Amino acid sequence: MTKYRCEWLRARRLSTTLRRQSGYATVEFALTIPLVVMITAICAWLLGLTATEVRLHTAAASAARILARGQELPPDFGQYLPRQAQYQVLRDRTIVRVTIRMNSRSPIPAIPLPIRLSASAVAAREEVMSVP
Amino acid sequence: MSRSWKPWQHSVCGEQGSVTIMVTCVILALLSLTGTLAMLGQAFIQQRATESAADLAAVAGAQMLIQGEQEACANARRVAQLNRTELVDCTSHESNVLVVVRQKMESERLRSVIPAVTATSRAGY
Repeated sequence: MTKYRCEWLRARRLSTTLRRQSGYATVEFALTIPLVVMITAICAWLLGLTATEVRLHTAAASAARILARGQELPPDFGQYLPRQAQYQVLRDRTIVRVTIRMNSRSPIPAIPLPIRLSASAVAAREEVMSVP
Repeated sequence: MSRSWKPWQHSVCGEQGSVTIMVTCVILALLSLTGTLAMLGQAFIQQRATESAADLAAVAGAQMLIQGEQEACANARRVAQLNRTELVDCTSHESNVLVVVRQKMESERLRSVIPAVTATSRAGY
């Protein structure tokens, strides 16, 4: 079909078809853009979750190593963790276990997703293991 | 006289639905990207956790290395298991111990792509 034929058809049906279709693209765009934005937000939220969980694992391993050496955790250790994160230390005769847990907030407040992040690390206590 | 229906009058000249098709493609691409990102993120987290476990197991092995390689590797295996990993290899050389630990992927879907992650660490006294 040629371009002129198409133009002719458009001119012929100007009063009906084009008037009916005018605004369709805008409405479709307006309806679907929030969906695209929501999926993009979920993508960014997943990336944030990954980074946060890596931070928790690193913090748990570092804390376990510090405590296994017989030292105490820095007083501001909790400040370096993400907000809402809580850590728990379990000391055995031979090991130290550090567990960090936190609840993640949903990217869509109307839909509360129960996402819980946790990281745990176990280190052998040096003052016990190094002395036979 | 009734006019016959001609598809080209609607499909070529009409623009109704063109945005929907385009946005549907974009949404499908974004959903695929989201799924891939979730899987890669999970794999990355497990890799980092396995590396931490390898470090802790190597340190635990080095603590017992003075009593011999067998005791060192037994201690490294114990710490690796407590960190939910499996000790694959443990060798000592002079005052160093080298451990290799492995952890299976927790996600069933991810396990079909990446069965397990391994990490190596060395520690000494």
